[in-house]
This record gives sequence, structure tokens and C-alpha cells, in this order.
Amino acid sequence: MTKQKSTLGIAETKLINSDIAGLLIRLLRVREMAMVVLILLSCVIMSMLSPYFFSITNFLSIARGFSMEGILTIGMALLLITGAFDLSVGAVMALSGIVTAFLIVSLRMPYIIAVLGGLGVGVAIGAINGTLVTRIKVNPLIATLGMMTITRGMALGVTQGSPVVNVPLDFAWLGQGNLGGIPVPFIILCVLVLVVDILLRKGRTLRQLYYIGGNQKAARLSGIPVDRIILLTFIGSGLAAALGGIITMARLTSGIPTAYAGVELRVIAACVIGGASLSGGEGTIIGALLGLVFMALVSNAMTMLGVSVYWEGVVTGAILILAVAMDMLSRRRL
Amino acid sequence: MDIEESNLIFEAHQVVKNYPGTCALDSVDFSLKKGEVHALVGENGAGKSTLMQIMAGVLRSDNGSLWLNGSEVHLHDPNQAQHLGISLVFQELALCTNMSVAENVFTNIQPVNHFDFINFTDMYEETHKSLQAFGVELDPRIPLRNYNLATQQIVEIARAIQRNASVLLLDEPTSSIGNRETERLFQVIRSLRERGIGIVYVSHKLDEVFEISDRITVLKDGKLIGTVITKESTPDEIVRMMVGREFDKMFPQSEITQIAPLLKVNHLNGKGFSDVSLEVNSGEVLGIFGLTGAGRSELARAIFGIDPPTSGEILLDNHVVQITNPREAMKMGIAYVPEDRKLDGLFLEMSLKNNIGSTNLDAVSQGEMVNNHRLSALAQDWMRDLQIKSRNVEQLVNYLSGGNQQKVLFAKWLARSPRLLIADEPTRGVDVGAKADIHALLHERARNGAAVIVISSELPEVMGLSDRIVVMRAGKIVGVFNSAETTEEQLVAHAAGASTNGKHLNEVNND
Repeated sequence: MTKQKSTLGIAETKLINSDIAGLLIRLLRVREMAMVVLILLSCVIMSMLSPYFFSITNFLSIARGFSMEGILTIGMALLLITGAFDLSVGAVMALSGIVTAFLIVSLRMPYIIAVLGGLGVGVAIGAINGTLVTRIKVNPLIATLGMMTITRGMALGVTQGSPVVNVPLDFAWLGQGNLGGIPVPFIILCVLVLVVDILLRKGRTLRQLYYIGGNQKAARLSGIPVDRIILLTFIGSGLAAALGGIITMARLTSGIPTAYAGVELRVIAACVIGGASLSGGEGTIIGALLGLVFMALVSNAMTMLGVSVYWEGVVTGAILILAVAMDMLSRRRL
Repeated sequence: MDIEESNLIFEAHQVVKNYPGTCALDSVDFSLKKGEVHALVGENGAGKSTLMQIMAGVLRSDNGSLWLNGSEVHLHDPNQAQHLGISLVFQELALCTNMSVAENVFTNIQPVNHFDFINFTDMYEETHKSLQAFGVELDPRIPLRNYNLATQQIVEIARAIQRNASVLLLDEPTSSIGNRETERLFQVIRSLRERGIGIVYVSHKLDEVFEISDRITVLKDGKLIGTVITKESTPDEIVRMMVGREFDKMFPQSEITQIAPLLKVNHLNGKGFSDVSLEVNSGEVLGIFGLTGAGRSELARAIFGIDPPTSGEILLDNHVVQITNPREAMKMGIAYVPEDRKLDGLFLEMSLKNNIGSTNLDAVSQGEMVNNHRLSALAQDWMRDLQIKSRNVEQLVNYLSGGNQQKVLFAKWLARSPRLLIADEPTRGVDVGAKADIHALLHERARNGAAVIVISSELPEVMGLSDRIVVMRAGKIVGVFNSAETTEEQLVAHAAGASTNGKHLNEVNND
């Protein structure tokens, strides 16, 4: 019998030997890098097509536009990594905005209490979602679809369908203001993205999300408290949605019960374009955010080029399917 | 004697585990020394897995005690067992293949820096070192899914060692890896033995057991048959201990009334088996015996068109046929009763009637419309004929007992009156009564002129039912026997690769 040294597959040896040469290829394989290249590319194309595109004003307005959805994207990306998702975020946005506006306008509460009240809505609904999924084992689609309908119904019920208006202008700073020329919502988003992204890459607690999404059974056997972490992630997603809702309410100076319908699907799409997978275990916060930025750019480009807003869905849908299809095709080759 | 005692790291005393209707473990003693490889062998259902799972804290025993380093331990769950240094490497690995190699080795015990962030540099280095000690060079940074199953298994072992395992339980570690990889695994096991780690090695493959183990314990029907020192024993002795029962003729031998080759398979190759040639006659029961993973089910799936063969030919009534999917196989009068009724066989959330209807809609429909009366009547007939204990034909099969579920599965296929019936583990997990009924059923089919192939890991079943027996090992046929002229020892020896007559059956596994 011939003694063979450890026999590695072809793919393995290649990956070890190509430390320097493969660095570029590996960088491009990283979804974030691919997204950055794509975003830069579309910026270049747009600058050539429209003289108004490449300006600080336009960029800042795009940034303010996607900041609220960006905050939601953080929560959704975390959930997708564990293998779950949350359809109720749009409704939570509406309800938390209404509650905060109501506390400010009608009860004249201090802003900080009003904001905490709005965030409480997100925590409560996130906790219900998480409990349904982890304790009672209701499928996340059903649990969060049900909660979406209930939350939206509550937003419409308490307001009887009409917006809560007359939010003071100094509160509106949260959504409309600038700090050093940069929109406040965008600053909040950047801070959150940086913190959560680093914790997700290096922190032991958030790192567990990847284990759970990769193989729940194995995670459990490794001593990871799977149910508790999924529950907390749902609460995080609810919290992010509430924060997004409060900032949007500040920007519009009114809590609108019918707003933000469909935002949950746009956010999920952004995460998936940015590298997350519905089956869990993959994705990053930066990636998901870049996915959202790309979608915002495309929508901005269409406006600039005078394409009717009604066509936007066709393009975003196509991008979503294309992103996932490319991913599947590149995996098949491996 | 004293030195012997102090060397013991893990012991199981008088362990008992009962399941409804069966005693899975009956007062079993087991001991493991430091730096020892202790093999645990026995036929399917002998209680090996149950004992392993009790020792790893997955299952709890009904009686008896476990002792680690001389003090009694009560294991509640696998995590606690791991903390105490007992790690089980599952047959189906429990890893997160989306994560890097290092993160799998260090799941939940990652090294951190003073910000409490994971110290990836250290983690990669440690992983590299610990794998290198096993003679394996991997890139700790890339996702585990880039490596094959055998390599992943070694990662899982490294992970147990990283948790300071002093007792390592390996459940059939070579069942899904090739020969060269087995050699590499053995090197790893030997290096662990030198470090003083106690290893329990469960395997069906006797040649491997004799190569790697220091002692062998044989279980049979939940009872301890004995523990021997490997060097002082022979494969023959182990086989005798494993079989150990008086073979009684409780099975009706079918009388071959009519002989005509119905199915002929020539040099068939496919996923999981290679160069298989066999024939089955009408009116005959052909048994296929072998260990799990020997390629028996894969052969059946190929004949039934689920995973069509890659080369070779299948002849029905002396005509070459191309079967590329189960529909075609069914049209030719072939039925395949799968091994896992819950996964592949039944629609658990549907009624008995609709389960039987699933393969017989043609017979009970007029054009596009299903005639519900005829479907109910068909189901009622089979419920009566097979004595299926169910409230009525509307009962969801999920609520039937295992034996009755198995009968529904048979009814679903027998209602088509197949000419060739392939039954894969026909009595797995059913009670004694239903077992006898199903055996009678298979015989009756053969007597009425059908060709029957029975795939089974249970020796008495194969011996009792079959006219001829084909033994498979590692994807190949290693022997064909007339059941009246063979012995259980002979079959087990061929299936396990410890052939007694000096003939070498070790063949190269080319994959």
C-alpha cells in the first residue's frame, strides 16, 4: 500500500498556494467589493448621462432618502443571517411614528420620553415576533405577516386613518436637520452601521448569528443559546424599524398611518443584493447597506433621466433576481 | 490490576435503556482506558448507537451509572458532556459549513482580545497548529464547505480536542469516506491515542476494527456479549459473537414454482455501486444483504429510475429497457418500497385513503375525475387484506403505529400488482406482529409469480425470506449464496470484509 500524504482536493491546494496572486480574485469575490465596483460604475455612467447627477446636493439628498430604510436594513440583515426575516417592519415604522407623534403633540411629553415610547412599540412587536418563532415555532413568514397586519391595523385604528400632525419644528431636526452639512439621519445610520458591522465581524455575541444560520442543530450542540439569540434579533429588528419610523416622522413632521407599505420587501431585497441569503448564514451589514445604496442610486438615476417613477419596480425587481441568479451560477462552478 | 484500574477514564455500569416494546440496552458494562481505542461492534439494532448517545449525554439511561475519572457523572445534555471532556462526533457531522475552518474549531470558545473582540490572528494560528498536528494542512480562513466530507470530519475531531476532550466517541467515522481518507483518519486517531485520549470507535467494518482498536466490545440485541483484546482475537471470533444466535427456521421457505428470469442486470454502474450483475426470477425472493452504505439502496434506486445508472444494462423479460424516472419504472410493473417510510414513502399529513391513492389514481379515476367511491373501496380492501389497524380510511397516517404505517406503504405499492417488487428494509422499526405479516405478504407475492427483491441489514430476515442472497460491500457484489447452503457467519464475513477463506475481497475504491 502506498502511503500518501494528506490528500487535499484540488480546490484546497489552489486556495493555499495562491496567497498573493489570488488576492485580487478573492477581493472581487467578496460581495462588498463587487457592490462598490458596481456603485462606482453606475455613478460614472450617470455622470455622463446627466449633468445634475454628480453634485454634493444630489448625493446628500440621496443619502437622506435612504437613511431610514438603511436603519431598517441593519435589523433585517441580522435576522436574515440567522435564517429568519421580518415582514412587520414597515407597519412598525408607521405605528412607532404615530405613537411618538401622539406623545409629543397630545400629551406634551418630553421628546426623550416620546422617543422611548416609540421605540417601546418596536421592542414589543419584535418580542412578540421572536416569541412566536422561537417558542411556538410559528414560521417567520406567518408570524411576521400576522404581526404586520395587526400593527398596521392598530396604526389605522388609533388614528382613524388620519395623520397625527403639528409635530414641533425643533423635533423635526432629527429628520430634516444637518450637522456640519451632513443630514442627521445619515449620521445616525453611519454610526449604527459601523458599530453593528464591527460587532458582527469581531464580537462573539453577534458572531453567533452566523453559526445559527449555518446549522442550527450544530449551533445548539456547541452551546449557543439559539432561541434566545433569535428572539433578541427579532427585538433588534423591531427596534431598528421603530427608530427608522421615528426619524421619518420627524422628517415629515407627522405620523402617517398608511405610510411605508412595502418597505419590508425593499429592505429584504437590498440585503439579498448585498450578499445575504434567505436560508441564512451569509451576509454583512455593509453589504446590505451597499445593496440599498445601489437601489437608491438606480431610482435616483431613473428620476434624473426622466423615467416615470412607476417603472422603478421593474428595474429593482430585475436587479434582485439578477443578483441572486449570478450568485447561484457562480456557486455551481465551484 | 491496580494499575489497570487507575488507567480507566470512562466507565458505564449496568446501563439500561428501554423503549416502548423493546429493551435497547440491558445492563451493559463498558470501560475505556486512557490512550485506548475501544471498538464497539454489533449488528444493526444491537444497541451501539444508544450506548454512544447515553455516554455523550444525548440520551439519558433508565438505569445504571457513568463514571468519569473515578467519580460518578450525570449527563443531561451534550454541552455539559463536552464541558466534562466527552465529545461525540456524529455520523452526520454537526458543523456550520458556511463558517471558516477556524470558527468551526473554536465555536463559542473563540480567543478574544481586551476589547472582547475575537482575536482572529490567534484563532487562525491555533487552528493551523492543531490541524498540523494531525498532518492536515488547511487554510483556516476559508469556509469549511470548500473541503470534502473526510476533511470536515477531521475538523470536527480537532474541535473536540480544542475543547480538551479526554474521551472521544466516533460513530461510524468511515461510513462515508474513501480508503485513502480512512488511512489519514487512522493516523489522526493514532496520534490522539498517543496523547492519552480514550477513543470509542463504532464501526461495521471488521477489517478497520482490527487495524485500529486495542479492545473490542460486542453487543447483540442490547446485551453485552463480551469484551476481548484485539490482538488475542480473530475476525471469526467476533463474527460468531455478533451473530451468536441459534438460527431457527421460523420463516416459510418459498417453493420455486416457476423459473423465468424477469429482471437481469448486466455490469451496472451508478452512484454508490459499480459493476453489478444479477438476475431475479419470477416467483423468487432475492435477498440483498450488506452493511449500511454498501450500495444496496443505491442499486434499487437505479433500477427504479430515481438515480438512473451511468452505464450497464437492465433487461426486463430479456429486453433491454431504459428507465430514466420512476414513472417509467412503474409503467413496466416495478414497485419500490423505500427504506425510510416517513421521508420517502408516505404523505404523513394525508389520509390512509389518499396515501394508497397516490400511486393508484389511474385505477380509480374516470378521465380527469377521481371517483371517490372507488378510491375508498380500494383503500378499504387493502386495509382489510393487510389488517391495517386504523379507525377508517380517512385516518391520517401520521397517527398510525409504525407497523401499520409500513403496511399502508406496502398497500400503496401492492395495489398496483407489480411484477417486480423491491422492498428496502421492509420491516425497519415495526413490531413483531407486523413483521410477520409483512414477511408473509412478500412470500405470497412471490408465490403468485412476482419477482421480489428484499434489501435488509437483518440477517434472520434475509436468511429466512430469500431463496438466494446477494452480498454487497463497498458498492460491489462480493458473493451470491443459496440461502439453504450458507451460514450467517459466511454472510457477515463477506459483508464486513473479513472473508474467512483467505480470499481477498479488498478492492480499490475508485472515487
